[in-house]
Amino acid sequence: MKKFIKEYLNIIAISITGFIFVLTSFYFVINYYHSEEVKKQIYVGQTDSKLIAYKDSVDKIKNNLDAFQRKGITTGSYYNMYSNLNTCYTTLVENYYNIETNRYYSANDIYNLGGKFQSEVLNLCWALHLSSIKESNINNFKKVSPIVTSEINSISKNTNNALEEIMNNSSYFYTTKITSFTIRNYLTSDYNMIIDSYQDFANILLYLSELLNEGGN
Amino acid sequence: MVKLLNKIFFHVKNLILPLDMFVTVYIIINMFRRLEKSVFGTNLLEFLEIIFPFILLLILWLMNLFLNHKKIQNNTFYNITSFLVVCTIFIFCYRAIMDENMLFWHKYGYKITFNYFSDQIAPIKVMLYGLSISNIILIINEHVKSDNEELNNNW
Repeated sequence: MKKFIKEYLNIIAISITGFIFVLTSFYFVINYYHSEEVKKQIYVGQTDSKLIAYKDSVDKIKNNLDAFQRKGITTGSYYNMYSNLNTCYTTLVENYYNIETNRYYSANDIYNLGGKFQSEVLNLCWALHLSSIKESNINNFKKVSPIVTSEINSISKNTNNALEEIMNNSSYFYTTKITSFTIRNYLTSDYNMIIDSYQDFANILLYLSELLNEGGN
Repeated sequence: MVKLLNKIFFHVKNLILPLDMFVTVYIIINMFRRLEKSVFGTNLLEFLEIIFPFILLLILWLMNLFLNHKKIQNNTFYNITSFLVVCTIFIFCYRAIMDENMLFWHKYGYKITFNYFSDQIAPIKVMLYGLSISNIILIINEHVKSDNEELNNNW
């Protein structure tokens, strides 16, 4: 009888251990798979046309700023506006080269790109240097400031939404191809939204640089 | 060779389990801080519920080590499974703290992917309780003497 109990207990213990072995192996393998999936990079070469348009805007800003510089104005509110626009132009150019050098982006890279747009372009460039156009002495800038501000708000919201959306990739059950493709499609569309934000901001800067030249005559 | 591997698994799992426990406590404390819960207040039970299986298994494994339970020490399958469990829990903790590609890692400023880790708490409990139950049964099994053994002892 005791031998039977001993063997029976042994079978139960081994069965439970076997169940745990299977469960653990599943979690072990699936974690490896999930970590590989979230690491995977997406190719963004198909969005090069957006980058070309962005570069085009940045080049035009440069031309407008150069044209202003040739007028030889070195003091006053126009010059202040020029130096603010020039600082923002430098930020946009640096970001352009950063974006252009990478053709493959991981989720983390895209998140950092969006974060960079928020910290460098919206917080530093807009909030610190350009948001003062509301109180500017220059009439042209004062007039357009409500439209520009609302445009910037919309860009800020879009970028924020894009960053919130790609957080879906933290969901653990990422095991089917459909989920995987969905997450990757989100990543691509959010990358596009962030590049659009850069482009929209460059367009606003271009508009302001044109106003600078009109008024400076 | 199998004996050597068995010994390695037996001792390494004993070392990794406390490490897993400390990292889990660290993550859970941060998780509670984010939710503005105090660990030692009304939420102590909730905290202990997560930590208890670790403590239980740690006690059982220390018993195996010091009371010299041969049945468990020589059970290669149990030791491999235990090793796999502690490694998997370590991977959960490692990914929750280090995997920046899961983007919730960035969100709350704690640099821990809380939602990923909270998804893993249930499997962690199942694994640890499973190993504990299996360990207890193996200990009972060791102490139940078969008829032959009793006969030998009487002689």
